[in-house]
Amino acid sequence: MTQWLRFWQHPILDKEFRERMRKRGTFWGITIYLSVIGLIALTYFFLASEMASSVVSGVGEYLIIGLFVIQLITLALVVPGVTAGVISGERERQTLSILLTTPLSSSGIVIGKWLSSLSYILLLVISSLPLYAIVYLYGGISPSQLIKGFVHLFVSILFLGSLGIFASVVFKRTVVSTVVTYLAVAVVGIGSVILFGFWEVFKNINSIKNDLVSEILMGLNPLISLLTFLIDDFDHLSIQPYAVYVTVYPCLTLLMLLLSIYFLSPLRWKMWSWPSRKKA
Amino acid sequence: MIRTEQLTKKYRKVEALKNLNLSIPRESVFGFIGPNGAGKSTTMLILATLLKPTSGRAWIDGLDVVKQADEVRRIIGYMPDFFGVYDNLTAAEYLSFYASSYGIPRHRQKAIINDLLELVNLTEKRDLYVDGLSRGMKQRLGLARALVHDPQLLILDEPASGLDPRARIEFREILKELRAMGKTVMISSHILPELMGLCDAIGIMEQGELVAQGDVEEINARFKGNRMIEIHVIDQLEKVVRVLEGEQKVTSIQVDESRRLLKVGLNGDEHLQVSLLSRLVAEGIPVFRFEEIAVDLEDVFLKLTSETGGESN
Ligand SMILES: Nc1ncnc2c1ncn2[C@@H]1O[C@H](COP(=O)(O)OP(=O)(O)OP(=O)(O)O)[C@@H](O)[C@H]1O
Ligand SMILES: [Mg+2]
Repeated sequence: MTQWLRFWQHPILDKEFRERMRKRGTFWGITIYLSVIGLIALTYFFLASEMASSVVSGVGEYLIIGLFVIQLITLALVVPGVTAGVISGERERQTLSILLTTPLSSSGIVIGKWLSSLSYILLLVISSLPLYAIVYLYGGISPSQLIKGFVHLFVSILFLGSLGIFASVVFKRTVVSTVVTYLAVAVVGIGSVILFGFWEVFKNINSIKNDLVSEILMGLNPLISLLTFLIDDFDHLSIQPYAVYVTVYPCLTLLMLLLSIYFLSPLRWKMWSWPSRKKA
Repeated sequence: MIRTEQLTKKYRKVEALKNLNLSIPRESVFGFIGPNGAGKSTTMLILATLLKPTSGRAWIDGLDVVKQADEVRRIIGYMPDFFGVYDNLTAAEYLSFYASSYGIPRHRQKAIINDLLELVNLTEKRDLYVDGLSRGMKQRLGLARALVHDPQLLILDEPASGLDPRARIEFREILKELRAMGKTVMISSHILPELMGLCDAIGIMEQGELVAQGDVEEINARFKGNRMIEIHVIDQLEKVVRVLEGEQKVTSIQVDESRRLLKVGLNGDEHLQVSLLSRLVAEGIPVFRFEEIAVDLEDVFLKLTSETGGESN
């Protein structure tokens, strides 16, 4: 317990919370996020219930899938924006070198920054919970599916956050780091679908029976892996894409964080010949 | 306190630091001087554990700056040549953040922060957002920040750059206080007079090499013609010049006939001055003023860096 308390008193977390709460953007960020999510969700609810009015039993399922998908896509757009500047921003403000001379190790800085950004994102997600509560009342979805859905979202947030941090450690400028993070998100989201398509074609040409690869590829795509456990039609798969997703992405997250810590450390054992140009 | 051994840093092809051997004793103020690009900041970055040397080693208080970086960080306070502050924190919160990062518990921070703000004359700005501070105030706040964990050694990279003359003087006063507190200070600058009354010793860098190191006076004395004597006579100006021209150790003579004043460059110490004066008097020259005038360290510096064929200016 005291350990836990001490953790929240980590200077980086404390400072980041203070700074974030004072930025006018923070309040507006939450407001806009909720309005956008709410608006899209309500529109979707409306359309879905119109269409499904004949098959009354399916409405709840459609609604919850829609909500999770909307939330995931919105987070994929929001998290890079929040995290891709946290280290490069310190560098641009010329505060990073001082930070690195304090006993806060580069791991403390990376983890502290990661967690404080994530807390902000979690605040967004938590404030959208009432929407889920409404949808849950429609029925059509089991509690375990709901929990799986949130675990999936959580894993996605952790990963997206670590991706943003990694880019902001490696790239000197926030602009570059942000662009690269969005590109990486696009690769994760669309790249795996393209790969999946290629594999299907390849499979048909060579008449391969084994479906393991396509199942793994499905699991690597955030959207598909989300859909597979929300829609019941995928029960026949030997490996659940959901299981693939929640094992692979935490590992990638860890890797990203370790690499970030490594690259942030000024005295890393082998100087990477990264362009380290200084102002003239 | 600081010792470096054959310290070398190459940025790709540029050799910013060449086999630097430096030694700075405890509780002294060391002025680190050199023109742009001499390698001062590079040296300080290495000492501040922010840059890995290409070869050679450096120790602070016996601790290796690469292998024992964590321990070194606890005993140094580093102030970079350019640094930013967190705009949306107040001055007190800004210091508190760094105090926490050194593991100083909250209940002890208040007293420390008050003392530091007092030291740098920012007590009234305590609860002001750092954003609203002037350049000079931010610089002083930065110094307070570097002191937050009571480090034994301060590494200050051009702390007075960008300050107006009054702010410079204020900054100097603070540094004198720190010296009185028994801190070891390494301070860089390219403006020499700024360090004159402040430093116990200076080191002069030029293109990655230490071209001179020692006491301020010692360095002063090492360069010929740097002792200047003003001689005022009632008359017999030509005779004075004749006598002086016969002296081996006189390096230059400037004559101001209307004021019957001579400026004489000497390569020697007080004994030479004594013998020169008695010689003039013995010759019957009516000398009514014979005085050594201070040589600007700046002159020494320019002379020195041009002698080594530096790229200064
Ligand atoms: N990050 C870097 N990458 C490449 N070269 C660098 C880098 N930093 C410094 N240099 C080079 O190293 C040399 C020494 O630079 P340094 O900043 O140590 O000089 P300095 O004495 O601090 O100069 P100034 O008085 O301008 O601050 C210069 O030639 C500079 O061009
Ligand atoms: Mg410099």
